[in-house]
Amino acid sequence: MLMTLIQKEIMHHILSIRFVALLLMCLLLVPLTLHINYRNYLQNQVNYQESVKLSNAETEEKPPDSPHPNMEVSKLFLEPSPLSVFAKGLEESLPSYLGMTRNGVKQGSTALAEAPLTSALGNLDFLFIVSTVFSLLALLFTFDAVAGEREAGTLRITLANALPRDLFLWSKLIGGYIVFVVPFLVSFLLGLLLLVSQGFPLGEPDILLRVFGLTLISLLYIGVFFGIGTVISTYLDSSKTALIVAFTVWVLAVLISPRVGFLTAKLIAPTRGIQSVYMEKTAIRDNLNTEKEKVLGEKIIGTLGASINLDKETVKKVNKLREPIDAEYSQKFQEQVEKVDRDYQRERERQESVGETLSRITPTSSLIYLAMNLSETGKIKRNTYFQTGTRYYAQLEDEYFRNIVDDDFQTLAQFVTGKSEQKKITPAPEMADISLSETLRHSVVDLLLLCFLAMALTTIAFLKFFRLDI
Amino acid sequence: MLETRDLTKVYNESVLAVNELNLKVDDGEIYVVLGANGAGKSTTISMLLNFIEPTSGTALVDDIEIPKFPLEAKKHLAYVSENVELYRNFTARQNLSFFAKLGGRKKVSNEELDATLGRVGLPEEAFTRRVKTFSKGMRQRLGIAIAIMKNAQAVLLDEPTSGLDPKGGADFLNLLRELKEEGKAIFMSTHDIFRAKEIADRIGILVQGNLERELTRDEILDEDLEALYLHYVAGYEPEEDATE
Repeated sequence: MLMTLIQKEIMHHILSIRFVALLLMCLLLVPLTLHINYRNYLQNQVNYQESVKLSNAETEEKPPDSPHPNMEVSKLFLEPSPLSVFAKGLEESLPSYLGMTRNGVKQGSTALAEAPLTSALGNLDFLFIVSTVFSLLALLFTFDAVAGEREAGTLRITLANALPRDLFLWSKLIGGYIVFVVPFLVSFLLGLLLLVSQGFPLGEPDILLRVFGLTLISLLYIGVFFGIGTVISTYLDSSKTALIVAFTVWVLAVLISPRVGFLTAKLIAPTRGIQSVYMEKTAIRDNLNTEKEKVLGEKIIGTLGASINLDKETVKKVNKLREPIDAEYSQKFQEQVEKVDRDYQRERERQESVGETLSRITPTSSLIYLAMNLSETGKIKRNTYFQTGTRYYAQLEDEYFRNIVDDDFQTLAQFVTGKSEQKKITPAPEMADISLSETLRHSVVDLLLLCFLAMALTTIAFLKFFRLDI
Repeated sequence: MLETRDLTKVYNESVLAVNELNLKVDDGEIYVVLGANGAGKSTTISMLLNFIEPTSGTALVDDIEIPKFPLEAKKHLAYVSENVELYRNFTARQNLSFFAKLGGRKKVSNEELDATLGRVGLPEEAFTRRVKTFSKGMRQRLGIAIAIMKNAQAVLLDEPTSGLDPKGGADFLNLLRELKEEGKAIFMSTHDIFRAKEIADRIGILVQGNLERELTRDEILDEDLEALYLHYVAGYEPEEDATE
């Protein structure tokens, strides 16, 4: 009986205009966007390699002896992820590099800044197609699952037979889902074949597993929207009303709620801008330098007298005098800068956490977070990038920045003694790989949320349908 | 055989839709229930099909209690609804085949499907046409073909002649007569007094959920059914003869 119903359901969908729409969307959009985004990735990869090569050459050549506090002495570049062909995620909004300056880590320009018009229109990638296009199509497939049959009178004729109600609804869900998912999977497979033919490393176990994970969460997300559509359909008598409600739900769930979450977070937990933080750090350095020069001047005058001859012997004495003062002010600077960074980081993390939590009210946000993590273009990648930058900065601070003194006495001393021995700058480290288990650990909340929604919505639809007066 | 025993339905604990309805439709009998909109005709059919649960009382088909054993009872029931839209993108044959399988038929040949479609008066060219191109009359015929195909002992018809043209209505009544001759118990709700008079073995007049009057075939033929119906449904009294 269930098979008969499922066969009918499949046939019913295949003969409808919405199936043609689905087929067109699948066969055109999925392979095309994968192809275009892979070309973009290849271009980004070339740009990345060239930038790294150039930066390494510059760093190795001649590290400046006393660089300006804002000068980037080395750069950590963001390597594009091959999986960004599926979900560009944060990749284009992250700085292309992190510049190491004496004032701290300076962020390079983002890809978005270079193409503001494109960014205004939004990304067209696999994630967008699934989250926006297929969610809408899923609702179009289900909004009249029950309401339409009620209107057509087929629900009464069907249930006038010895047919349990749950079988009827299962057939609606299973049949509709099969018709929906088969073209989706076929087009995705075609897209993958196209990518492989262009050299995409799908054979690598980590990438293969991540692509498999992307497929599964896409199917789960589509399942959630099947649930939403079916619930709407069981609660409403008219398919026209159901369509309007379904469309409204889609607009709220897909277009509005994810953004509203972060807008609300900005009100609840505001933060300062990155530039104001950078300016604050510059001001700290300037203030401490002025203070240090004053203290050092007083110390020199106090020890060597007001009039001194600047010879090698005097420079030696001055250097001895300044050593503890340099160390003290360097320590002060570090402490104050770290406090500024910590406060700013805390503010940002809180705002982001509030926004992330609020945005999870809709399954679209969960899908986006999951897909970005799996594609290595999400929060984990961003955090790893910035953490690597911070570690690199700390390393440079120890090896290089700490030894730079650029007050007037040092300038004069260098003039007298000649330039000190140049230290080589350690090249930027490679970013650590993000393991699949770590990705899953970070994504478990969103995964559970999607599973819960799919199950809860299906249960609601069944409970309502069981109590429905036909 | 179809039977209701004190069948009652109260909606939201306040709206009495059907009140202690007791009726019996024997095999080979056509029972027509007449009533205005909201009289409780469709609610009665819905309870007979277990689409809604009765508040009290029960209904039986072939001695099977419908509320207690709905799936078993439905094997003995066929149903023709008022607006038979069916699956519009399916052909008549596909619709019939699907519902025949739902009705318990394992395999149905095209010959059998075509024979049934022919029996209800659908032209042969319509067998493979999509139902969305059908007129209301054609869809109604297909609806009764579905009921025939199920070969159930009792047939429930919910205002099946509404919207049919005179020819369609007449053909429809002929089909009902054939089913009656096959020994089916036929229960039909309608507003159509004239067709009811033509076909019914017994007529029940339902007013606000109460079975106000039941007429046998002889009474149907003897009495002015229209006046009687208007009397019960709208409270009209027969006009006195102006010449008297």
